[in-house]
Amino acid sequence: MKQETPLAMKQATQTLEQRLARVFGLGLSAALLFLAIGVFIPTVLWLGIAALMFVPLAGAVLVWQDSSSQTSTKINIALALAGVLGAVVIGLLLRR
Amino acid sequence: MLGLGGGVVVVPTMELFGNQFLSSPHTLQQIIAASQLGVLSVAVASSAGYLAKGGFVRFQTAYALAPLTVFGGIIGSLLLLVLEPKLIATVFAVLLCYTAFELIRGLNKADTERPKASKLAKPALVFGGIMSGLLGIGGGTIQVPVLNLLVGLPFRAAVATSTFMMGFTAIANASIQIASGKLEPSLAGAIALGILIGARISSGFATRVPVRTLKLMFSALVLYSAFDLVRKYWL
Repeated sequence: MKQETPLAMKQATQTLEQRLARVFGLGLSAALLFLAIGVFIPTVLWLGIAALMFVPLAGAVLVWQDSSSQTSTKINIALALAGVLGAVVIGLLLRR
Repeated sequence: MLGLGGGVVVVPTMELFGNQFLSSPHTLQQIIAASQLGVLSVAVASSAGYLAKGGFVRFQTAYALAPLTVFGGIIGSLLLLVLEPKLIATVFAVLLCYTAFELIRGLNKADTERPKASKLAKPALVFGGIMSGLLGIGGGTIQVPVLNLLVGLPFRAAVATSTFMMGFTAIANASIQIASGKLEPSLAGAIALGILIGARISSGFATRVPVRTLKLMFSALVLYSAFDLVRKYWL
């Protein structure tokens, strides 16, 4: 059993990494497409920017949901996401 | 390839040549705000490559340290809104000289590995976050040496983990700029698109150029940019 655990963890990490690679790849292609269209239609630029910003957040959610993720990792993800949310709030306050 | 977010190239280059080619002139603050999107592009594009190869990104380390860089990034972004451009340019010039020094110093350096993270790692990463928010850089100039020398990751893993962490820091920094209305979408979109296209093209080209040559070329560009910033704001 002791010998199986590291292998199982390694396999779980590989699967998670593959899923993350897919999310990042798709997000990258979407961002590239929207930014290219945005050269001609400026409003679409925001979609490209949103796609870029969405990718790391989607990755964090994937890691959070993964069964192999430790509680400490989940807490750190929550802290980082709270930081991003805090940044938005600070930005909105500065706009006033 | 060098684990940099691109801001150390984008900001001085836009400051040097940008206003000659753009229809309306942009301030240093506007360029730094737009550069955050460029950093995010580099982070996403590079991370996608490292994740596809597999085994380079250390998720636990990345997420354990990401809140620190995000926190530092918020402080830096706030400082950007209140500090004088002359002071920001000076800090940038100092950081550029440090980057060149680190690159030249590491030309013949063997990869080192540390069994336990140093206590200095966390404050150093907060500082890296502050610099990224203040200067519009990814923070790789600080993060990669910290992850390699103080946290103890092998160099390639440090580069991959740094680019993965950069995504979070750049989102927080860009969020402040977008929410406060300081980000100009046309400039940011152009920088992000250029970087994404450049990353695609250079991924094949970069493997043919020796890392030593790349580092030397990059050091020369960085030193020239530092000199130009000092000349522009001080002389």
